[in-house]
Amino acid sequence: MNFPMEKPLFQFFYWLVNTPGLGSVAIALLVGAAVTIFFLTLRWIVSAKNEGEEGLPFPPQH
Amino acid sequence: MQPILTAQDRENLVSPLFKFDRQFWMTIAVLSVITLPGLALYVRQLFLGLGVTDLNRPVFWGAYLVNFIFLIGISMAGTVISAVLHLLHIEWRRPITRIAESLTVFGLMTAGLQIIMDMGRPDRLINTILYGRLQAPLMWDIASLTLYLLTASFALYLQLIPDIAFMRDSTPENAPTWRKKLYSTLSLGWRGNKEQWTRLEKAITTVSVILIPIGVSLHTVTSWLFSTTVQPGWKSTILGPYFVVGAIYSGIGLLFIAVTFATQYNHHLKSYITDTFYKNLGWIFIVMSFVWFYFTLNETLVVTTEQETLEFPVMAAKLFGEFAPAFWGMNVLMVATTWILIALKVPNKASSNPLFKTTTGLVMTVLAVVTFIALALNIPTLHGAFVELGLLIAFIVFFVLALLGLTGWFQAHLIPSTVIASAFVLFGMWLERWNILMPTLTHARIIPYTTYFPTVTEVALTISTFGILTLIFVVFYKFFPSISIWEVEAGRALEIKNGG
Amino acid sequence: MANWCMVIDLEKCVACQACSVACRMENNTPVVSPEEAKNGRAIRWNDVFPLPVHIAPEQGEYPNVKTHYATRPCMHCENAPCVKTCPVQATYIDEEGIVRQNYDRCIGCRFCTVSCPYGVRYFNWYAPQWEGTLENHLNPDELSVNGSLEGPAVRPVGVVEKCTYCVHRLVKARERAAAEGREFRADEYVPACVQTCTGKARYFGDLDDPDSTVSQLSKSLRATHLLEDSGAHPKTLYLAEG
Repeated sequence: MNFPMEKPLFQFFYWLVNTPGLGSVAIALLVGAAVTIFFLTLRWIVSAKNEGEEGLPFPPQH
Repeated sequence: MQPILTAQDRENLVSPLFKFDRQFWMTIAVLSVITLPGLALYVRQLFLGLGVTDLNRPVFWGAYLVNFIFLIGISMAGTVISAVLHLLHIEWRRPITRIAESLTVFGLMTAGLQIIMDMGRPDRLINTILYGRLQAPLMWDIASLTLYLLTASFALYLQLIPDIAFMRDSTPENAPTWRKKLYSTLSLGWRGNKEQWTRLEKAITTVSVILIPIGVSLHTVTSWLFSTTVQPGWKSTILGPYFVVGAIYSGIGLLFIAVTFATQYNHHLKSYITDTFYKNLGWIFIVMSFVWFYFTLNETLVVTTEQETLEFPVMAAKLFGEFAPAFWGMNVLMVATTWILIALKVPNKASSNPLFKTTTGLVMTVLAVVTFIALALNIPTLHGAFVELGLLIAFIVFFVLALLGLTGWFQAHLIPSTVIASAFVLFGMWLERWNILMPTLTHARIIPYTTYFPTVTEVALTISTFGILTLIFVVFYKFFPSISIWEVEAGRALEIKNGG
Repeated sequence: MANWCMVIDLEKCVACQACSVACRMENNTPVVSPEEAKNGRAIRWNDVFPLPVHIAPEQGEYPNVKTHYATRPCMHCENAPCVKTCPVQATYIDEEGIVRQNYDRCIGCRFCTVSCPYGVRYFNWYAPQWEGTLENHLNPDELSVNGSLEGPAVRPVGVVEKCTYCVHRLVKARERAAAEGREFRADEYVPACVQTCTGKARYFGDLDDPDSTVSQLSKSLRATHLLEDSGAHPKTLYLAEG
């Protein structure tokens, strides 16, 4: 028994997993997405403007 | 809102970071002496090739890979523990989150080093980027490890921002300019307003949720590295969860040791990291030890019972072959650990029975170690005539008496006992990784059985690895506070609010 | 396209190891010291060993003893585990069914060596060396594909190497045919071990050609594979003894 390699879908899958360089592309996408998200999160956090009190030593208790 | 920690508290936490005293330089010197021989031998390995190891055919992987799995294991628990405890709002987590999260980052860094040490052509590392194939399990591991390292570093950094800002504001006047610059750059202009805090807490919670599956994935993928080859002994479906459980187990061990090391290093920390932490995390440790035993039993029982022709020689090597000392040594260490942990939970009743005297326990420990070594050496003259059986019974008796005798001492010394148990777990888990890799590799299908024992290079590089891990730890905490100051303050504030 | 395959008749094989020696000379496999060889560092692309491997070679009690030997090139599996686990495609199956190794791309992670159930892959633990004048008798052939070394020229330290069915001989035979302006015939190409086999126990040819010797032999009732349960779909055929 083997995979039904005559089907285009499976040929595509084989191409996907077997092409040198695509693994690196996948990792690059993953890393790129992670780094971008982390960077945006950091910017979102520090960009918060608030007219009230500053220099709180710890998060305000709810 | 007023700070809860007093000026004295803050002084105690900040001033050691600017004191490069004898203690610090001595630690660095000792660690460097431990690390350097391995580095020198690595350079030799680079020039000569991997022939300087004891690797051969079919034992193509050895101590470096064992270290790799072990380091990934210890790195996993830090973040997962801290993330789970954060999501569950467990209060006693607060002082130790920083150390737990940093252990993950440092462990993963050193784990990555192992892969490079193990490569025949480290100069071609770039090929994994140029030609990486999705089908190869090694690429999954690279993906998982990179993602986990990034996310864990991000989680650690998020946690650090308010404390870096605090360091920026309380840097002593005489501190070097580059340190002032470092803190002001890294703090990203954190002002600590209400909105910033709200957003930071949201981000930390989200990252905690993401970290848990990534952490689990990394360890499962590491087990897939082995399962995807068609070698006997690695095909068991339990390998994935077994790796995860072992990872959490050894990770807690390392966390205990690191926290104790940090408090010994800076005595002021003792007022923040109290016995409560040891007692509470001890419960999780006990649970993990039972889960670990259950998985080990499962693994052993199934393979032993099915008597599959390819799998059984591998298991036999562990149960009564050349890997028996490592396998049973691991089990003995884990039994001792579990006993110590449970003893710590039982009220201490002074007993006049000589069986429960510490001296009896120590004598019995020595006897147990001697009999174990005699059994492990497998001396031919001891064969037959019930000598081996006698030794085995003697060992069991000595071992039980040793545990009983030392119980009182364990109960009276919470922190040293926990550290001893943790050290046992770390060593036992290293042996477990060894027992997963080596019996399979030495028992290939149609290649004659071989043996493997690490050479000086491999041992020195293993020591170097742990030296580097400790060095990163020591240096990192010379720049950043080893407990999360703002988390501790928030915890105190919560206590006051709840009328504590 | 051809599907190259080797058939080894164990009935005819006398375990003389001539194939092993021919392979060594043809493919420039480095020699190692006896101590290193004892430690499992010997490189024999084509190995000869007693079967079953894990018990003493002689079975039975004198004078009723019997010994089985097997010779083992690469199986050139159709579902090769080494190819599936290589992170950089340094090993691959070409369109003619030969599992090939790109020595210039291999990073030496040894995943393929661990994956291979047959142990046909070897690692260069040290830089290759030869004893005495052996170094002056290296095979000068060199096969490069897209600038990467794949042929018998000496491999560097730290890479994995393996039996290639002497693929450089295929390339040479094709080039010769082209130079002489004629069609390439399948019988112009045989690996060194097949050419040298004392008892003519080895056959080589195109498995897709129904008239070739190998496809005729593959229909034999004695035809079998090594470790058929490995799931790797090994291609090298054995004709069993007895």
